[in-house]
Amino acid sequence: MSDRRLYVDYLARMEGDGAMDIVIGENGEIKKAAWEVWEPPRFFEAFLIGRKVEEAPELVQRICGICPHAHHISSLRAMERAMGVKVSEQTRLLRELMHYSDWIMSHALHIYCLAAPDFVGYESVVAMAGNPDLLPIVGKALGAKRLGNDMIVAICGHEIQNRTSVLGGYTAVPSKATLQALKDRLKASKEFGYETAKLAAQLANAEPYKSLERKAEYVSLYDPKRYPINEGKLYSNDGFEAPDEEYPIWILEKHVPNCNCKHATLKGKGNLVVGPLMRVNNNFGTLSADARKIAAEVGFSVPCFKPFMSIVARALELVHAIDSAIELIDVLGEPKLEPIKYEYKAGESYAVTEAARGICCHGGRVDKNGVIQKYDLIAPTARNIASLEDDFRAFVPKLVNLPDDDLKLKCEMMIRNYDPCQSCATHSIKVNLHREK
Amino acid sequence: MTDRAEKPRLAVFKFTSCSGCQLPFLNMETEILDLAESIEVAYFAMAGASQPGPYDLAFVEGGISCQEDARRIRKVREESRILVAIGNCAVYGGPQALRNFLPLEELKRAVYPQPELIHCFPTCQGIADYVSVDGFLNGCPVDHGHLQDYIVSVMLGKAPEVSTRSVCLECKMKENVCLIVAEGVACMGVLTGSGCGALCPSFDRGCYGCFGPSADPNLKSFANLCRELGLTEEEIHRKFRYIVNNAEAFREEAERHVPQPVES
Amino acid sequence: MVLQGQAGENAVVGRDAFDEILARLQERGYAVYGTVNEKGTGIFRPLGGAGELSLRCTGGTLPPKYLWYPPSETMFTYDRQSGALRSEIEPVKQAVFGIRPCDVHALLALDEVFLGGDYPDPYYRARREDLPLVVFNCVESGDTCFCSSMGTGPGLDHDYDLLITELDRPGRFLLEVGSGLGGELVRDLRAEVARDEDYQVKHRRLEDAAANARTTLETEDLPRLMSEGHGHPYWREISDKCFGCANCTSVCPTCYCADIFDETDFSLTETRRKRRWSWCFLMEFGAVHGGNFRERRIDRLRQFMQHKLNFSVGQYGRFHCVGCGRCIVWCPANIDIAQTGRTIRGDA
Repeated sequence: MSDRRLYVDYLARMEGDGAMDIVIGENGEIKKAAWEVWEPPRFFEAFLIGRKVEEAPELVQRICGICPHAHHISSLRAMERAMGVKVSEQTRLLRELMHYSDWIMSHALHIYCLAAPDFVGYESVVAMAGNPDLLPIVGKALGAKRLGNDMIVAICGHEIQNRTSVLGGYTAVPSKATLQALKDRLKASKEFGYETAKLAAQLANAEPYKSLERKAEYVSLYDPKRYPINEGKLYSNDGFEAPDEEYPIWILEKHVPNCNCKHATLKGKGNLVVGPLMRVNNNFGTLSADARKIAAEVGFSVPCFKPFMSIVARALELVHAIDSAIELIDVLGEPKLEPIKYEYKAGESYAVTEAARGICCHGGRVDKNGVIQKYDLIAPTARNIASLEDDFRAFVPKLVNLPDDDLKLKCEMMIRNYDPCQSCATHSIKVNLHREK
Repeated sequence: MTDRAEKPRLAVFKFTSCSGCQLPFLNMETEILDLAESIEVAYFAMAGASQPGPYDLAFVEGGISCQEDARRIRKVREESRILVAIGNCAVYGGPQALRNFLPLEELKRAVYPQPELIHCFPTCQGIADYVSVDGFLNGCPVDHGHLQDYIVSVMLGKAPEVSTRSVCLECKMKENVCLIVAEGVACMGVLTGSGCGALCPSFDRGCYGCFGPSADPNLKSFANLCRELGLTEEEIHRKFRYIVNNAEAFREEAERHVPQPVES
Repeated sequence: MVLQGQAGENAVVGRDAFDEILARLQERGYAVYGTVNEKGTGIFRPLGGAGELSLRCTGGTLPPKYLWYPPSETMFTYDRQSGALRSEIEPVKQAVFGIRPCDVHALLALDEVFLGGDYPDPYYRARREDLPLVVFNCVESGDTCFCSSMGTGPGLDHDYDLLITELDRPGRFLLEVGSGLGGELVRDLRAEVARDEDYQVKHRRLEDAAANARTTLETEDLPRLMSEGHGHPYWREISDKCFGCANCTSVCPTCYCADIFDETDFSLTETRRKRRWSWCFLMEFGAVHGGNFRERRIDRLRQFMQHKLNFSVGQYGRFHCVGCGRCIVWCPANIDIAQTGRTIRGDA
């Protein structure tokens, strides 16, 4: 008997280009378990040096079309911190609403278009819609995704690239009437959030998914009072806590032999993992009341170290995002156009936000003329690579009796659990440009 | 419904880019099921389709920045009857073409601890530098409506119309007050192709040119206008060397305004 | 006095009369548009009440032309399954409250274009046939207005339903009834009798407005001089500045060119044939099979101005420049059609 190789080039239903390569030895041992990201480097960190500070948030949102707002807000907050710029409460709330809108869009997209087809055995969401039993829920999912997009458009002018949010505030704000119309639609979509959580729990509670468990260092932002999205401390389930601007001190990147990726580790600990499941674990208490209620109803409780439960965590966050958006709209009332005022000041800082798929850190150093001297950015996906390979090593031996096609699919699903964004990931990983097709 | 065999086969490919120009397809929530009736989505990795070619209509997102990109775009060209570059990256090389103006070795050292492991071209270019291209849809990101018009035109067998109007006309149709005239903002709308619906000026911000140069941009006059409005040569340089930095007209104009080193 | 509601009747009214006139237009089913102050300029908007009206003319961005000639409209729809064509041209009931004399002249110019000749345009006609005009005479000239040079203002004496001129005390207006409909709009309204002095004030104010015009252009023999000046170096001077953005043509109240295109949705069930504004200033305008007949910016700029100040006279017997000054206001390169005319004819 020879080695079994599971190789998938062009992983489908995830953002960006990447491949998976798993080699299983004769005795079922894992000889290689790699997720290779082919995305060529784009050198944002290098060409941002010498740019004006205002340009960074504008350019970095173009790192990733899926989570532009996380990059944008992290960059805004880091640059503002570096220069000691304080923004208004309204700006903070609008940024939060903008980011929750992105979560609604992104989570609906991931649950239905990227993840669910695996669980129910279809190639794509369009194929899923061909099943008359599934068509209604697919229709609702597309509707929820549209709602997220419409909210993004209302706040930042464009579905993909924000146009109104700038360093120090907003150049235009949505009207009360616009926000109220969105609130009505959000209320109407609560039922869909509930159905999604039930469906997700049903999918993830099947075998083999529900038995695959692996305890790991779950890292997210944390705030005891408020579910963290744009602000919070760095926190792990294993007792780590630090201010988010200390990110570069605590989260280290190292090279591992025989691997192309820089692996992220938590200082003094080890591999870490980020994403909705980790956020929900660390912040269950501040999820909206309805999200917690639904969690109980579908049998989800924390701590939960089952990576396939991430679809449930995502669904609970969808419910929470809908509730939070409704609340934010109420608090915002009638947003006013506020003057944007700040002065250039030399400084250095970092800031972390929670992208739909996990923490996203930006930071750098600015000189007294507002010119960037140094820029760093660390996207969520890169941090999960090492842990994902741990998942492969832990779970593949349990699934080794599956035929190749099915095992490959299960491994792909393990990657998809992290809703990876490979264009982002490339910003801090080694790139394997060798490919066979 | 037409017979499946008669449906045109659509493909969407990604190269060096952010995926933002593939999103308009995924954001066609209300049209996507209609689209699936009349077209076969044969290749679109992010949406889960990965059928082999040939394709009738291929949309390409992303620039070409490495050997693998170059190899693959040639293959895509061979397999595609109509090949369309969508968005700033595929048309011009994208925001990351900002790296083209810096030496590769310096870039690698700035970003990666082991620069020797990084293999890529010294520049990121639009796909037309490598293969013949049948159509170009500008934007950063591309416009949803433009994509839709293009697909429908191909399905109907007619030549797609791609507007070369300026952003100004979109502002006028929205009755926006001109930022140059009324506020003295060096808005690039006068030089920039339309398609965005005059987004930034509608939010009281000057256009920064993300749809690339319009049909006949008067760069020199714009530079003069910038000077009249008090911009320095360095600021004029950065205006052209920004989101769509690698469009020939903008690239060359940037070179005419050499930035002076700023004292830190 | 109480107005009888006859054409030819005149009276002096206060601003409260505007509310009544507006209400009567709305009662009759008209969507009434007027200039309101918005974004620091005057923009034609559907009016709720007459209080929203701006009495000071600021030219605005788009002229009211879009009411009778929309930027984009469907001409017919085509059912791709049955092959049936459907064209529903419904009469449109709109009215303008506070249109200025220059824009009325522009409307009359468009009437000749769309309704003159053997093939009147049914889409235009549907919007034009029932279009009450409440005209405000201009008692002051804007910086870029040169209607008095073009013979299109500041006063109007024809083609109005009601004509309103502000007298020398704020809130007193001379009201002149120009049509049966105009009469109906003011019947039974209480008003002061218009005295000779009121007419004298009107004429003096209009004469002052004309005399104080800060922009002028001598039109005597202008078409011939423009033709002779086709090679004048000034064209090069301004085309070097010109962005080719076509802002000028997009705000012109007499530009009438259109582009015709088809629009089909993904289901491929229905095609809409549409037309939308197009302008000789666009690069795409001159793109024909085998090339572009107006590829150079200088040629496009010259075509626009020559058409307004020269060719239109040969085509229609009137200038298609009404001196509204919008193209001057909104040119980001500060190009001035009146200045150009003066320079070409040798007056500048």
